[in-house]
Amino acid sequence: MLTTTFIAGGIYWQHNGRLSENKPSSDSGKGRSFFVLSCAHCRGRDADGGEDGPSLLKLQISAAHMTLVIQSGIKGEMPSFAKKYTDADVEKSVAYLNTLK
Amino acid sequence: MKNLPADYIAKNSDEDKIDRRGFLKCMAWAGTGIVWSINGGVLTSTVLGESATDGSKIATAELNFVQISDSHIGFNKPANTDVVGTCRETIARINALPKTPEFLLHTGDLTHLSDPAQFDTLAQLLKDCKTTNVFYVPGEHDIYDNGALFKERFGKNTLGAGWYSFDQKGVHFIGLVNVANIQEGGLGTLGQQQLDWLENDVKGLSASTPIVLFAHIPLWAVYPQWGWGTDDAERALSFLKRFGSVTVLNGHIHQVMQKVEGNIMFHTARGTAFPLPTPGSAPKPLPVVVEAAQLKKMLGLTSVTYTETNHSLAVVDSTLS
Repeated sequence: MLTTTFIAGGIYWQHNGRLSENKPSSDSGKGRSFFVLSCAHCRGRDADGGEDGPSLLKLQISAAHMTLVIQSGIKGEMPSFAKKYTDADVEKSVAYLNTLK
Repeated sequence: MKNLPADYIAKNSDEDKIDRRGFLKCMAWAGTGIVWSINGGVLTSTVLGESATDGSKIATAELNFVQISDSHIGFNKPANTDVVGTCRETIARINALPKTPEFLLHTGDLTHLSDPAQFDTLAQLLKDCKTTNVFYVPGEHDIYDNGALFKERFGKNTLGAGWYSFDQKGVHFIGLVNVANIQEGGLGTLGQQQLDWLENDVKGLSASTPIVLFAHIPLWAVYPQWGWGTDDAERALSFLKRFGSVTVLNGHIHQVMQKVEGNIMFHTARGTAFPLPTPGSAPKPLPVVVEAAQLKKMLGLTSVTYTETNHSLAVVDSTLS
């Protein structure tokens, strides 16, 4: 499970129970914002599966594949985000997804 | 209209058997659409189906309209593999009303994936409705393309992400968009630009003007743990405090809930597609999968009648099957 935890004024990143001081990059932080805006209601707030989308934790696909899916969608399953997000935005989203691996 | 006490739901002032426990129990109501009638500034709701058999209130009302929500055209998971069918059934029920509603409000999630074909399907379905005038606000499922297609097809002449207002028979209707910038935690947001517009929109209205505000995500904190609320709704509602009658209609949570706070009555509508769990009853707000017969029961009929004079909330629960 992915959560941000506020400890003594600092932001720590907790992933699958492991607490680390590795603050996510600004890219993945922005990617998290995009995820919250467009993905979380289907994939779950913690990306572990939601309304009708499976978990995105520990994805075993490449960044290029993630980019393709985000931009093209999956027919009948997932919308294309090509009109909503720029290439740079998608790159940030992929950076966020990579933090879930 | 007098202000209602914020806690009046907790009291059973009438013999309607609706006390706090009863009200909570009735939070699991089902219904595929809600008929709203305004008579003398008093707004009354009746769930579709019941009004088709008892139309006395509808027939004499000054203004009739229907709220439908969460069609999710394109959804095809086990919770409902025929969302087109249940939407069609909803429209048939609207057509069976003793008096044709003057318009429909669709409170968002017309589609599941913002797909052009899904928008087409909904438009085609609604062509079978006797009521041709439909006002929409988008849900988060309608704007995966940044809302371009929704605005082009269902939000012409709207402002910003799709907000607008209009007047019908002395009632001021305001459609807001709170899905364009969903926050961490899932709460909706209206945003400063829309709030500024809203403040200006109602500035010149008389305090006696009945207001109906509609948006997709509830404008009250139904269950923030699941993102069922709107982060800056308080500011929006502050502009409406001086009005005697304010009704807030939302969707998103796929179940009927109602709350009265001061001069404002909040009401969420059942979707036409699939049920979601009652707040906190499941780990996550995932579509509830039930057997077909059970789904029919969950899409059953419920009526809600609000009467200003005795501050009572009357609820009648019935089912389709």
